[in-house]
Amino acid sequence: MASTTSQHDLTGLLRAWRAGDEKALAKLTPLVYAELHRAAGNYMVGERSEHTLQTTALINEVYLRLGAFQHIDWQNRAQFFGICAQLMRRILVDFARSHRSQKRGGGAAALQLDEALIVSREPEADLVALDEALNELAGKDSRKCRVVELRFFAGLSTKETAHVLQVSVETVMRDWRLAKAWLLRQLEQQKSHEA
Amino acid sequence: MKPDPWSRVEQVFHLALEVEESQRAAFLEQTCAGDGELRSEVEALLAADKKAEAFLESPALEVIGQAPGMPSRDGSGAEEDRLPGSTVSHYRILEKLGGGGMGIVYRAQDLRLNRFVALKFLPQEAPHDASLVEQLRREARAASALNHPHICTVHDIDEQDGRPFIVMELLEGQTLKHRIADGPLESKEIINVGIQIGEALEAAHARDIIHRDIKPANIFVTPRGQVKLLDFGLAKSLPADTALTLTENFAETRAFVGTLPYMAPEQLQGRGVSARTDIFAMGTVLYELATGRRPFPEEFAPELAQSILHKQPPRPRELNPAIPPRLESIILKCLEKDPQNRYQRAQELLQDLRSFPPPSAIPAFLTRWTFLVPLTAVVAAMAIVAGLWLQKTEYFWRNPIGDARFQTVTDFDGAEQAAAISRDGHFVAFLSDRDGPTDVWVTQLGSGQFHNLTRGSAPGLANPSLRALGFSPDSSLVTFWFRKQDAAGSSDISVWAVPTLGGQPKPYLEGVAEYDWSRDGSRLAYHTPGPGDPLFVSDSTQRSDIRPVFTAPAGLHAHFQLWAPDSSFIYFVQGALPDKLDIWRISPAGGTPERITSHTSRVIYPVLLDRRTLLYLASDPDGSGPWLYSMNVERRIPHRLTQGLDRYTSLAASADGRRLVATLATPKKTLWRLPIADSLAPTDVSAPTRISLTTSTGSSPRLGPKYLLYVSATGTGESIRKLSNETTTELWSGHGAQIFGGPVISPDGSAIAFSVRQQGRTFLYLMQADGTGARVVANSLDLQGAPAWAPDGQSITSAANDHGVPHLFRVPLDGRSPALFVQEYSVDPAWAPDGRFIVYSGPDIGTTFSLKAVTAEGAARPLPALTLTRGARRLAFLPGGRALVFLRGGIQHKNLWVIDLETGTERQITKLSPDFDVGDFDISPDGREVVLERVQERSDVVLLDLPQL
Repeated sequence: MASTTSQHDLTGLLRAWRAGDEKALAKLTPLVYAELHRAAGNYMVGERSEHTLQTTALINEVYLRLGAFQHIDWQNRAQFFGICAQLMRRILVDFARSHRSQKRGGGAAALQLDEALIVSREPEADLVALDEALNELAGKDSRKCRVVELRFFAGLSTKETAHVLQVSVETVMRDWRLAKAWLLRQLEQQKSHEA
Repeated sequence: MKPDPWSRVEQVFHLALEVEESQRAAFLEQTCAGDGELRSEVEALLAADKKAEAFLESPALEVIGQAPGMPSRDGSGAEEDRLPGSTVSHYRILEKLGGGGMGIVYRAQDLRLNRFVALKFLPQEAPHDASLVEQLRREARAASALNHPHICTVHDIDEQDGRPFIVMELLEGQTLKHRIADGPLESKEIINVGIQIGEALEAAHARDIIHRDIKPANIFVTPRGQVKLLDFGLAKSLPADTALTLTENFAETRAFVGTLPYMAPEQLQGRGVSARTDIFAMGTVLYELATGRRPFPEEFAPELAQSILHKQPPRPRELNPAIPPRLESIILKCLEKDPQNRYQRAQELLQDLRSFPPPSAIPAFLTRWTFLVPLTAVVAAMAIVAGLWLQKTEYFWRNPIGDARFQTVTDFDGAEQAAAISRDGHFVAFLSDRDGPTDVWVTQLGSGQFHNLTRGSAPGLANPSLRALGFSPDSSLVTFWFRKQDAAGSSDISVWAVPTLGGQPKPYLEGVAEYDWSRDGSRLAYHTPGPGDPLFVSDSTQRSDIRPVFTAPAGLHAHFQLWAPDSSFIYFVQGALPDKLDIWRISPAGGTPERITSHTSRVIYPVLLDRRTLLYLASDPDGSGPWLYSMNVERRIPHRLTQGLDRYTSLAASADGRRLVATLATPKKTLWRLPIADSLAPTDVSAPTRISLTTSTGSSPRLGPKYLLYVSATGTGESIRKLSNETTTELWSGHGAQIFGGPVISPDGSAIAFSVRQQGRTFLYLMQADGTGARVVANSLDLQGAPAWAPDGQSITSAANDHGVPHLFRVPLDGRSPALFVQEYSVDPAWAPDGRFIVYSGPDIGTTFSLKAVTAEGAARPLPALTLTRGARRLAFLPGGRALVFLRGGIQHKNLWVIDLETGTERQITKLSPDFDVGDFDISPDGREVVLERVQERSDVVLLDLPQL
């Protein structure tokens, strides 16, 4: 059975990666990417109203689907969330990018991507622009970039983020606050340049 | 050394945030000390920070998922083409099998149990039709309450993206609708099909479930000729006591259910349906099978309705003279306009169909061949026809214990379990706590002498989920499952043995959990305690732990290995413990196991009386039992052999299958009261005193203002009784009702709510404290565990099955629908008296579970860490609201403890004797008294001697 193979793969690969085998990550990534992509895709084309599924639940589900149920090991899981956060970023940004080009290519002038993505409670969240700004932030301070990935793309709480990064909750809170301020300013600057 | 600019920005940014806004300019002026770049960078960030509060706080996926303009399912259209290849829940969808008004069916693979199943989704065009969703749920519930070889098994109901689907048994073959297209069937085929449908209806009607839509498209025939009734989609299951409440909800749909050409007159007129409605529909099906056309063939609906109501259909023999006259009269009796003139029950119809001379083809056969074929050939042909007949209908099924002589072996006080019998039928072994600890006991039948073989030397013998005791083939040793704990606390499972006549226990099969010797003693089947219970087969001289013959999938167990008498198969019980199990068998050489039963309940202790006759214990889906069942393994029709209050807890058979031994248990529950101090200070603990009741048993006690409520068995169900001023009144009782989780009294003491399981469904009831005005306030949830009344009196909180996991829901009492409250494993809640938070139990992990809490708004609330042991679980607050009372101790024996939730201070408030097992408790409204439910399991070993065949 295919999933049995991947179960062993996942646990073994996570362990190998933890032990310092970088090749394990290269093998792991496509596996996780495929499952995550499918789960996220199902989510996004799902019914909009009354959706209670959370990102973390989705990642947990992917983890369970890939991992053997009896091997719920928090260290593995933390590490797994670390990988998923980066992959979710890739999936969602790619999704936003393709959606934008579709709309532009199709000549549907009605909506700009930012209008489509920004819900009232969000001051500004163009995923593609955010992705670029995050790359810039990573150049300055990679940990802050990871905090944003874990919190925004993987939906983790401050505490869980602290666990994955093995830093204190206070550190995560400080990083998060500065990263948000920095990213927001960056996006605003970019927008005013475009305008 | 000068820090790099970014870390300086970071440092100043955070320092500035600590400073009051009005002081920030001055602070920056001073701190940046002329570094203008640093200052403007920090100022810009501080300005952004003010606007960034909500920025990125909703996870990206949820933002995208909610964004307008994203492709939605509604627009995607070709879902039928999209689903195959995808995975929903833990099912991989393989292909579309068919579609109809009630949904689209796909073939799918259950990735968890590694089996093929059918998934039924609602039709694409109607995903938001609430009545269809409800209908689908009703179908799942009604059908899962039925467990019958001629009713398509419903494994599960699950949901994908808010869209429910049913997981069903995957059937091969075709529906009768397709079969009829090839022309009329032969009489014997019609009778065969009729008997199987009749048996399905008999089972459904016995549970008050009316199918209401019997038609050829809903009847499936497998290549082996087995008939399966599908689509209990319109089935109406009404517990007698809820009829009034529910009828209102059903009133609207009533006229529209059913399929017109097969509808009975009373159904058409909306006069209410009964078992006889299904019998009419069955008559139309038999008519169509016999003649190739429907009894009322009109295509235009008004004409068709007129015919059904007033016109007699042509006699079947006019259309097909080959039909025997008696079959014709059976069909016409089903089609009587007045329900009074039809068969009143499926059983009567079955009787007529079964009494039909099976070889109905013989006359034609004889006229052609009488003078050509020797008589012996005719007899042989008749035997073959009769054989085929029997294979499909079990006309001659005989109750294997019908003439058994019952005898009590033990009548000790206390609990006996895990009965075993030696091959020669002379010795019986069992576990008993007669001397205090659970020990292995043995008796030579007829001697009246009982010997304790282990005398407290082997703690940890009981394991109700496997065959814990056995005899060596020569009866010289009694073997027992034993978990040996070493000093370091790790445990080691092995089979041990002690001489039947007494002696020192020694390991028998090390590292083995269960075993069975083949009848000739040449081969041993055994499993180790490893994951999936790997099953090995070896010869008598050597063990080979190298290659298991079978290993259960992850998370499942495989116990109770049992050789067939001719060694052709090894039977075993497989599934999820403790109550999602079935009997399977596998060749001793390995291969794919074959499923024998389909109870998906607590199935334990299989024994074989001969090559075909399987006896085993199985519980019903409502949790009643386990009962003794019998099945012919070639025909696979389960027959329940016992009923009543006794539960069977173990079963064993002698080698010749003529002597059985079993343990029967009767749980007894009594109520006790005990004064307590409403404080956390240690006090003396007094002994409880028994509350005298007018009923023999009492459980789930709850204290209201000046009254005591409790649950009592009525013989046919359960009731709620109220004890007040020394008088007892029955407030509510329900036929076949099981009241679970205990009743709950409203904060003002004026009303009572309780959860009931009836006919395989669950209902939350509400009534006045005097028992009047009982009504159902929730019938759409699959309730679990205890309900709790919110302190404002406006809603009731209870766990309900949410995709297989219990989640807490709030059920408003003003008629609004229930709402999900806690979205993680949560059960058995208790509200703090001030209504600010609710405490509940988390999932069982191993033998423990933890308590958790959320605020009324649903935010997590910290609690002092409390990890409790499986078994009885109940939580209650002392009136002050700070102190929570809970049960702590071993799996069976627990005491009441109280914890101060602010300080974490704990105190034990009862010191109950070791034989006092608390099942449930409650605290009086003034906090000065507790009532306790005491559970005493009385059980005995019984012997069944079957007459020689």
